[in-house]
Amino acid sequence: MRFAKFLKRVELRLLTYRDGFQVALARKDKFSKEFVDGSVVVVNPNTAKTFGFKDGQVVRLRAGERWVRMRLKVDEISPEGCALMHSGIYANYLSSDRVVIEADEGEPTTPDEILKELVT
Amino acid sequence: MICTGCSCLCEDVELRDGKVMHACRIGASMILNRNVARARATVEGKETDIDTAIDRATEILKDSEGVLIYGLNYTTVEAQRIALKLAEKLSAGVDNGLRYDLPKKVVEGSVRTTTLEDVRDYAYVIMFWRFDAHNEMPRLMSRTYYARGKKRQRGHEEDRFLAVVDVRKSHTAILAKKNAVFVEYYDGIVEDFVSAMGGGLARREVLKVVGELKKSEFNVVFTKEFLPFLNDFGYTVPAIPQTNAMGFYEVFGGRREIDRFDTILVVGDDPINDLPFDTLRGKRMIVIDPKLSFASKSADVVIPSAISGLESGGTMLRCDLKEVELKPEFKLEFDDAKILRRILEGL
Amino acid sequence: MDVYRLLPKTNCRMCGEQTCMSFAFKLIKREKKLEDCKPLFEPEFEENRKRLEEMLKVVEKATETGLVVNEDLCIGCGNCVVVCPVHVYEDPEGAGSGYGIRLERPILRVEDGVVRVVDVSLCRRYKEKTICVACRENCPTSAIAFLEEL
Repeated sequence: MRFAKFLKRVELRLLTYRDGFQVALARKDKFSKEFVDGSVVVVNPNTAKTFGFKDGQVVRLRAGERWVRMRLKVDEISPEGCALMHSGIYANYLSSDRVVIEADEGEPTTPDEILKELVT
Repeated sequence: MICTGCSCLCEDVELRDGKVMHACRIGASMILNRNVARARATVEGKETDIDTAIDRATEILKDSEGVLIYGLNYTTVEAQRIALKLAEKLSAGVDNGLRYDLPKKVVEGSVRTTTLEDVRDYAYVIMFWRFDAHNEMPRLMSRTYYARGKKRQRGHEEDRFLAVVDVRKSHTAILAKKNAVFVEYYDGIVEDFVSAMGGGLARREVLKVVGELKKSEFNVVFTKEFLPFLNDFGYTVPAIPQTNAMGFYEVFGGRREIDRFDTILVVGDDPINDLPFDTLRGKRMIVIDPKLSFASKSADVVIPSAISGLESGGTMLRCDLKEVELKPEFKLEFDDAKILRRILEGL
Repeated sequence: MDVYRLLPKTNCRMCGEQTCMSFAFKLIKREKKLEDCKPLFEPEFEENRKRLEEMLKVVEKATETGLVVNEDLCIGCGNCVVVCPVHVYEDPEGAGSGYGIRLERPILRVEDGVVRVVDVSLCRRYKEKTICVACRENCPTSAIAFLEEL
């Protein structure tokens, strides 16, 4: 039997911002591994503590029918009770101001995987 | 050279033996990685030559029932002017993807504005209103707030007051230390400011900022939204980081709505980052971009162009509307202006 | 101190120091090597040892002023270059006025998008042993840090 590390599913407000590092990576190569590595969801230390999220873990973010897997980063630049994300393809794909977040396993979603959704 | 990484349009950037001097991470990445992930001329996913791609694009546009021209934030004023002619010829809609009312007001002159040099030389209160300068326009603060100026010789700690208003403790907010205040944005903050300015009550931090504003004749707010209550107390500089978005507002004024369109002509931006996927599905797409973008992956035609300012010249408008003549380090034949002109001539 | 926390903290004195605390200080000043601590190389301390090796890599690149730059945190904003009192004094029309520094050998300069230490000999921390923290104070990501705070 396999248990997910944390069985909590949390609903947070999804907030976007322009991350300078992601903008710089987008000027290089939007399809690079670096770009995916930098595509994180940022959560406030208090929020992380409350819900048991750890810096660096992979989470699933769900908005209605749409979901993505991203790595979580803990940082004070994110307000409490929010999931902060760079305003790019991931945020636009989720296109919601609320998101359900839960622990997950596997590799973070890539832009190519999101682009497949555009074609279907 | 002039860095076209953002609307700071820094003029002190140099390329010295392959090393980029003074440009921030965004500009340096653009310059150092110019040969990475370049767009290639393609028609229906198959690589071809640029002339074929331009011809096919022209055919598609002739054939369409409604065109939306999208982007134009990262290209020159000259290319924007040709795009305007194109839009008129095709009765096309035009959308740069941004939804701010401030830039148009500044361009029209209904909002008091100033230059970055004057901010540096004279500004006492410098306010960042819901704008994370550190991430969006990294060198803006070092060029204005941190720099010494004619009437601000003693630097930011003694001769300036920094006010950062935001919904979160952004990197910019973290810099509000000495002679500074971070005000967490809340519902009713605008009313509080109006009240405080009229001598009435407000939250402590708002009263503090207004008290400082009243001390000086020269205050500046960097913002993306029009703040009428600040117009009396200072100058407003649009904080729109997209390199030549201000050029777009000067040439087009703003968006041109269109009821229906079956074709999108994308110039330099990536609508996949902004437009709802539902809007994009089923539309034919022509992408003009120097690099591989998300949009280019599902485009019917991709036309590779030069990186404006680095590989082609022209004019751009800085965030404060200063006209800057670009000084490209390299020269590529097909820039946005040439491509758009060819399309226009072919219609 | 982060370095001390990762040591065995037994004060066994095998390294030649009286306490692990003083060994930690000597490590940072590069007067002692990690290999001097035999217990650290036991299997139970493997994770600690690895983390210490990472931390000390950064220290190796540090300068005599104790200035350490973590390029992974630096966005190249240039605040540190512009705010440096030495730069302001020596280059008033350049860095002093918010532009890229025009000195041939400045203390700091933004190159390839991140700040690099060029010549510390002009820095007040080195020359005059002054406690000047201007560069670090105005870096919102702590990309610039001073050794003794690690």
